[in-house]
Amino acid sequence: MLHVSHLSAGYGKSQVIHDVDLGIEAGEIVCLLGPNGAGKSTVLKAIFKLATVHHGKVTFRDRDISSLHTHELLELGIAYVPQGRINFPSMTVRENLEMGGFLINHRHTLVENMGFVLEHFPALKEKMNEAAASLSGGEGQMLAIARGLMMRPSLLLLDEPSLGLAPKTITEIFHNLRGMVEQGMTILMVEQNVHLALEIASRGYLMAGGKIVFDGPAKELKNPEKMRALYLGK
Amino acid sequence: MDLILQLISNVLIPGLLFALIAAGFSLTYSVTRVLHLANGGVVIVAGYGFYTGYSLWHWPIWSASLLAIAIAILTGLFINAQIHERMREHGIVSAAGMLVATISVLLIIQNILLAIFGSAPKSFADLQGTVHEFGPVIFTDHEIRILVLIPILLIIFILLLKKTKTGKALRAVADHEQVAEVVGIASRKMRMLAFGISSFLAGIAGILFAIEYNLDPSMGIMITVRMIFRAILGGVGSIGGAILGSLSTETIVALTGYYWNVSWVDFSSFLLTFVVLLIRPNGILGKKKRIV
Repeated sequence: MLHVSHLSAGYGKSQVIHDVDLGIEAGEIVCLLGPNGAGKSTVLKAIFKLATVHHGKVTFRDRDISSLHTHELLELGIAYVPQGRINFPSMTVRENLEMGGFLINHRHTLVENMGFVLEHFPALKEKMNEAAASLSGGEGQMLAIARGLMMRPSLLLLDEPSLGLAPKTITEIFHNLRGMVEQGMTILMVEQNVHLALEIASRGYLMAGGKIVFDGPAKELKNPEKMRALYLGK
Repeated sequence: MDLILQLISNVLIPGLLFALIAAGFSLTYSVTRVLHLANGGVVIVAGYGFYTGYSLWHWPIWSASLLAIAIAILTGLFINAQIHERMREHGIVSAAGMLVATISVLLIIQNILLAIFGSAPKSFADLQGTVHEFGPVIFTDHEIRILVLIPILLIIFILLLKKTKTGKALRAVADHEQVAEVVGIASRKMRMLAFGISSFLAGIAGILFAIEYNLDPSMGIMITVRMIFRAILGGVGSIGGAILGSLSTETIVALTGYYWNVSWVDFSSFLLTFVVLLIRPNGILGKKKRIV
């Protein structure tokens, strides 16, 4: 579904990721693993055109999307949820979701999509008229993901959804995500929590120093000996 | 009672004029993070645009007003595109750099107007219309125009920000520019729109201001200084704060003028802002304020 080849990117002139190759097929959950500063988030941002792409090619459903802008990617069915449960704090939950569907031009499509998203995140239903700033951490992350789903994307780029959340909340969010995948969505996810990530993902890429150093099925990445060796660079 | 009514009438005219100017200033600040001090310049540009159309070219009042508003909007858009967007592209985000740039624009505008039109005040006394007495309160036709037009404009402005998709997108950029980009909102367009709207409001204020108080080039700085004090008093970045700050400052001005001495009105109005900021450093509305 999504294929990235020889991708080098960063911010301005500085380069963070080097020659990254990865692929993801429809219906998969694939995660990017690796230590802090390995460039995992930058891969997502580069795909979504929020980082500066220096070199490389990205195709989505066999179409070259290397030169497209963020809003065009959204219209093609790719959405991105940034790290750190960031929302529009002074706006209500409803308004946040409406902004998630900013590019939708038909009112009824917007209402329909909001209904779909709330079905998967029912906890938000009771908070529709509250300001996003008043939500708890877990609710804030759910809102951030729900906002990303408002365009009904076929591919979701998800940056560290578990960061700073209670285990129970994480379980709930991951359960919701799996539900979405069963309905046909595909997820490329950055996750620091290896154990958690491999619970849900089918494959993983391990990054270090801006490069992909290993890739394989979740089963193989679960092997603690192997992971230790890779993390320590042996 | 009569006294209170008279004071209220003295508060409302300048209070509403400054509310309109400060509301635009607050919008641009929250959407673009630029302290648009040149906004006072845009106000007098509109005033001189109106003067050119109405007094020099003898156009009807409506055509002259449209000319003034169009010139104001073009000036605002030009300032945004040629100065603030360029500085962003070059990565200059220092507050000092922005401040120097925006003050320079204000001074340049004033000096261009001085060179073209001279320093003699321009009067539009013929447009003030007849005087109406409402008991103890006296309003001219023009003041009634201000009392009706500005509240309607402010209400429309607030409703646009609150209810429309574009208004929400403006607030989204004000809240979090990066997330706005993530959902496909072109923040650059929204910044342009913020300057466009604030210049439209400044344009209308400029015409109304010129007719009420005459017009001379040095008013640019005077309007900017008063605008920024009123906006900060209420809570900069909030439309409600702009209205609140303008009306409360004019109340102090009116009370000082009545009970003390007219030459002390600036002192007491600046003192008000100073004292409020000592107690509430983020203005009357405090930290939790939003645009609307």
